[in-house]
Amino acid sequence: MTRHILVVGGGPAGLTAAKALVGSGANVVLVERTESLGGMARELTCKGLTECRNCGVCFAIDRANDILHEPEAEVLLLSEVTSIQKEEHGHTARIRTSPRYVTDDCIGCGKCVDACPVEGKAMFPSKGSGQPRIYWIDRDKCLHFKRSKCIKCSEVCPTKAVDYEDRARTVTRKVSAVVYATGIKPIDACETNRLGCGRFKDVISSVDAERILNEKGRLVRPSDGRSPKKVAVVQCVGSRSVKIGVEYCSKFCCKYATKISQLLLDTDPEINLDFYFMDLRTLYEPQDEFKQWAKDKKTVKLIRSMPAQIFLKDDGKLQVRVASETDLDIQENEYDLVMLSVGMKPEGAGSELAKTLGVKTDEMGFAAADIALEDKGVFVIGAVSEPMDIEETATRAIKAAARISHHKEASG
Amino acid sequence: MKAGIQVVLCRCCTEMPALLDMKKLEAMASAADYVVSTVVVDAVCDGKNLADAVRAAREREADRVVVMACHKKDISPGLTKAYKRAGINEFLIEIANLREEVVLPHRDDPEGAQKKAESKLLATIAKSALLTPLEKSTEEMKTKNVVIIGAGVSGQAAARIASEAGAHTIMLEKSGKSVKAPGIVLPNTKVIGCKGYPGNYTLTIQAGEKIEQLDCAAVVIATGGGWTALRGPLASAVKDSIPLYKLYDQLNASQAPKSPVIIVDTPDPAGKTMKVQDYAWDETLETVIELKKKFPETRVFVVFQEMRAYGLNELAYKTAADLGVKFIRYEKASPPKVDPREPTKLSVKDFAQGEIVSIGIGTLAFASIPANPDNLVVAEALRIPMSPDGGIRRGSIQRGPVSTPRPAMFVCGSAMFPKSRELAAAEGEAAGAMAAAYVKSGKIEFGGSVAQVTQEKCSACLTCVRTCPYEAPFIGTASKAEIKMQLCQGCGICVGICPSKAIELHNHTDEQIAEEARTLLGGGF
Repeated sequence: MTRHILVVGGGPAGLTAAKALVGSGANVVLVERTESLGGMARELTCKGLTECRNCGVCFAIDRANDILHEPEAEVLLLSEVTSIQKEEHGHTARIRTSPRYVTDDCIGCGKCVDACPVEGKAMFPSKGSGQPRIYWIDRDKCLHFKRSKCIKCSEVCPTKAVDYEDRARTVTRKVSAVVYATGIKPIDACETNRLGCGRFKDVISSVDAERILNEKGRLVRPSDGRSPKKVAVVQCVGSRSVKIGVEYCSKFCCKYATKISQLLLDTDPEINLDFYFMDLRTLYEPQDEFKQWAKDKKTVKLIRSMPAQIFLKDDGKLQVRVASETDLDIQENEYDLVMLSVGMKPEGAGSELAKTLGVKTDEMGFAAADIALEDKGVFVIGAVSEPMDIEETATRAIKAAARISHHKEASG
Repeated sequence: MKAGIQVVLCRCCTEMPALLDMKKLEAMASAADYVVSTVVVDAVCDGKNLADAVRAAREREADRVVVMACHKKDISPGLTKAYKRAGINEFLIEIANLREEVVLPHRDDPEGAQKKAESKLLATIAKSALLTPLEKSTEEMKTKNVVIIGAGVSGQAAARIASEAGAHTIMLEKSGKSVKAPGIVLPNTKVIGCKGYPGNYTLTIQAGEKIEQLDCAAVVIATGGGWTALRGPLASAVKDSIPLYKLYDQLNASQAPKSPVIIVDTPDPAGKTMKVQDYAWDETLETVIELKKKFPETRVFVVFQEMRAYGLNELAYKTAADLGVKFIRYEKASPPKVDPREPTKLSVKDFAQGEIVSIGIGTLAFASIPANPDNLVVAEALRIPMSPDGGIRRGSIQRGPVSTPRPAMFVCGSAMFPKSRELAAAEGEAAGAMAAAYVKSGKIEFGGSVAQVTQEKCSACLTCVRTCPYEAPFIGTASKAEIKMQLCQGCGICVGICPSKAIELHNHTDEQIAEEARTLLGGGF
């Protein structure tokens, strides 16, 4: 008998697990809350311009593509598990899919967005590199569902993919195991107000930087669209901070920040880059490798000190006040752009669904993976269980998929 | 047979027409030699548009296709499948990346872009006319064996998962320790050589004096860390020097260690040191917390260079500090020292205080996992590159986690670089699952655009044999070079380097490349 497995979450963890499960002969029901697959990886940029830097972003996007073309995987986008019930063997899940109002015929040309008369648009492409590349309509904003019955997007669509008759659907699936992989969300960098995030346009979070790099291929100042010449990277914003209750280290920030720094220098060798950090914890790379790289580049400085405050000067430059590394002097350095490397928080670790499944959270709010839960056919994987990067996530997802394949309850 | 080419021009919705004169491109394509059908579609990535193009190809009896669209990776799988169904050989489909090579970089220069697009179109058509159809071959795997090198934490996990998934596991363990694992366990055995190709490897293994051949489809490397010898200056000065895991074992046996000092970041064996010691912190913090809980009166020092308590370990660090564990950070330039005349005192310059402190040592434990010296033997036998600090190099993440640069060979645990026990076990299970999944298909696909030697021209100079990174060329029975198709990756290095010009890469022949270049340059050379 074919086993049916419910995977909650279409990020790197859920996708890798789903792919491995399909490969072992199972049928997968993949439930994703948003309009496309890829999770956090959708908005991240490939960090390799001249050489592969093993950031793992393409791995996640490729798996998203694989799953969409997999006949044994049922992908439910804009969907949520509304209820789940433990049965004698496995679980019964009810899944509600919200209408997208665009059919699979969409070719992602974007003519509809140009035609949309709503301010701020009511029609959206899938986020970043998310898959599939199909647009969706926000019902709350769309004029068609208000008095005017606007059909402008439908008129310009070359493939007649707009379907205002789309309705919410609820499906029921009997599954023998549940994979819980709801992932993470970035900590709001603006919670540490002193660094000027939210107040100054050119103080951006690392997530913003990745999004800009992913869309434009190079980093530009949000204020005037020009390429920055002097950039500061500030580590540990929002993580390792008792003040805002995130006492843990988010583990992969040093990895992505060092790789973004290298990418920036690849795109423009003339950028002056100052890298502020507490401890350098570059995952997987021999630590000295980044230090050596920084040493070789004359324009890169590693500074073991955390900026205290950022001010905006009249000429639009940012002034960073920081204690000097060696003595207790206060320095003030000027930058065109400041990138704050934000940590991550677990997403949906304490949701109703998680509670029903029996998933417990630890003191920091992560979902605790435990063996007793696995015996009941519930597997918690990915960064929702503890901070981890895409590579480790993939490793652990493959491991979990292998365990599910030989799980007594799951195969029964 | 005369070539019949179909040209598919993709509008990419609105992007191409915004910059390029599609009408002119269409007319040029239609007028070119061999072209029997020209279609312009809105988006070739769309199923219906593609179906229309394929239908037109069939009606006009085209046998090859030139697609002017975007990145190959984005459209290739669906496109190839659709044309294959229509009876067109997959190696006769040429995709030119008009979007990323012409439209995006030349946004501000429509004239230049048009010129570039035109020459690109003609060059691709010219090359396409000279392509020859190729077929891929398949071969059965001889065995379903998965060889696992190393019977440590990760190796055992790999064996368990791989055998559950239906692979035959054979575990090679260099020592004589008894191992409980499914499948076959060969103690006192090491691997000394490897022949063959992914799916059909033949390993040469040595058990004592005996040397044997062992067929297998996939290999998992789980050699672990190199704990065996602590032989550096610190270890030789202090009598009671142990690796950290021994301290952990002592704790489990409820023996109180005598004023322990744990050193992170300075692996102390002879041989290569591994610089990444991130995961040493996992074990260090676990051990010191356990120690302080069992024996609260014991003084514990942790001496380190860089504080790297990842993720939730940050909390463990805090707990340890609250329990009274002393952490001392030193700079690389002034490492901890022990005077051999007074081996009970360790002196180290505390970075925070800026002073040299002297600590009494009972037990000196090394948390850093040194590289396993066996890695060198294994890497040489299996022909896998090593990382600069003595580990097995992992492959690009694009191949998947726990992969190596060689297909069907996987690596897990501390063989790459130091790992915590828990992560090593997880990687072992993942590697076991990946190896088993590879073996499950039972088939090896090879061929296509690979190199071939024209035997008459070959002078058996061995240049290709020495140069090929994949070891595909060999000297055959006719004393001439031959290419093992299963190993050839179609990179073309041997073609370029052959002094006799005896090697050709299918569908990348001199003639085809020259014709493409000639057209690109306007036919004037």
